[in-house]
Amino acid sequence: MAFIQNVLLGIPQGALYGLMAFGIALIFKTVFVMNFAHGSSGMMAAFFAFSVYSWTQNLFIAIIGALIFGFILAQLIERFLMRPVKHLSHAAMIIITLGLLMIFEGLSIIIWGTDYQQFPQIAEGAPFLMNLGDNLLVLPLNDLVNMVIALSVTVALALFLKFTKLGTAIRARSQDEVGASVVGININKVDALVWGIGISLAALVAVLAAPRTYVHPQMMTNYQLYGFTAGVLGGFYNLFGAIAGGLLLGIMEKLVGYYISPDYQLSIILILIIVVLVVKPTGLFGSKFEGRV
Amino acid sequence: MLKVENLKVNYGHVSAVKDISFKIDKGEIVSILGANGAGKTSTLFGTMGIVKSTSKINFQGEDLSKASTEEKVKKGLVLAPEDRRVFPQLSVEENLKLGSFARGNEKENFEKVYDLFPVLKERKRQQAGSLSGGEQQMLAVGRALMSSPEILMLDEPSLGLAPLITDEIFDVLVQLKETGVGILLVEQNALRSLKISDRAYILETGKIATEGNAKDLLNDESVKKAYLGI
Repeated sequence: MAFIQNVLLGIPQGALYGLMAFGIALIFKTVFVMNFAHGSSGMMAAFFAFSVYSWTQNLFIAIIGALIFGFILAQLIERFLMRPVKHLSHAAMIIITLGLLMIFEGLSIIIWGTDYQQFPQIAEGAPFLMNLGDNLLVLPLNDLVNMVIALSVTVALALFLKFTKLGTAIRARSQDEVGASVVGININKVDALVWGIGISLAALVAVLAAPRTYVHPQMMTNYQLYGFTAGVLGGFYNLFGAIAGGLLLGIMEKLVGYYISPDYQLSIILILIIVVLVVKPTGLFGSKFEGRV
Repeated sequence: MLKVENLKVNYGHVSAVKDISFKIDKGEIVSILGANGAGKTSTLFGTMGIVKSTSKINFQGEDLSKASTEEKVKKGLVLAPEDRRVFPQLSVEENLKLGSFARGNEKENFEKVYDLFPVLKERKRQQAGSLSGGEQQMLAVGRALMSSPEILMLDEPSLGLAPLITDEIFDVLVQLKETGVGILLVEQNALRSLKISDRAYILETGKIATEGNAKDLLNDESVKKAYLGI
């Protein structure tokens, strides 16, 4: 029974990892940049949400504010840091994201300090209980709400990418840049939109995670790592795989924490990256990618 | 209709296209011939603005020298690039749909393209990457047609194709010419493209070495020797 309980607790956590991986994978697939500043961009947005919340006392406005903040931050990153070096080298773009990671952490300390700030949950209330024979399964209400939000955002984005004209253009650009430009797709605009969606997702994850992690400069470090791992696990070229990888990771994290020791959670996750990369570099759900290179 | 003057394309210190000028009229097929590395693809990329270039481009009396690639596509300058460049993980239908992303009536053009290439209709749900080379080339041409081009530029449409399929694609080009589309054809297969062309330019190391009537070039001794292998 403890097993099922841990699986149940792992799913909402995993949904957040999945959302993190979805954003990282979307950016990677489209502009071929592994965004090391993904988590810290989300952290900046969470601090912004914290400030908005302190000022307005309205959680809804704070969360929407964080999403918009993330989108605008992404536009600045794309326009002034990524676009100038886009056709020079991908390594340069990746190094820039590493630099951003440090800048954001430093900046957040300067602006907001190093204190752990509280951030409210969306749903306060009695946990969701399920009777299973003689046993009782517990799922905190906020976890349930987080899970519903994360999964519906994922489904909405998947539908957007699959069925809308703009979504198809994004997929086209990720598969062939020259092909996309000759049909009249503005590559820069698509890239900016993808950065915007990706970083907004990081902002969403950050505000959903904030009640548990507290808002502080390193709040998203683990999420960045878990997001990467979920991406590696599911295959970076497959957005569905990113979500599935995230869920799997969330569940495993809880199981390792319960059966082995919470101290080993991160180490085991990191070992997992290495094992997957060695055994199946395309990820569990990855197929051979034909689009790029 | 399309007039490109003083086109220059540089890659770092290497200049691929050194100040060339050419024009295409309505209902005309114009070939650009040349050896590997003569600057044919760079000419097309430079004209479309996919690589950095300087030139004066006049299209139907409008100055497009500073226009971006998508603005040019919107005006009806359409390129079917070398190596097909279809989107391998999108379906045939999605590929075609993207052809009218910036321009062109999707419904009407779907019918036209499926008429010209019935095989694409049969495979419309299939991923483009799973098509054969010839089918992918048809898809690339079909995708370009989806944007109702005024000027259609094709880069090596016969590359790696069986002669029968090449015939099919060249037939389509002749049909298009008759509807008033101006066609700029870049080809290795010089003999074949000269046969359907009205005029031709011959490029040598980024400069126009010869230009003239396609029939005259077909009979020109030096051209025969250098490019036709006759």
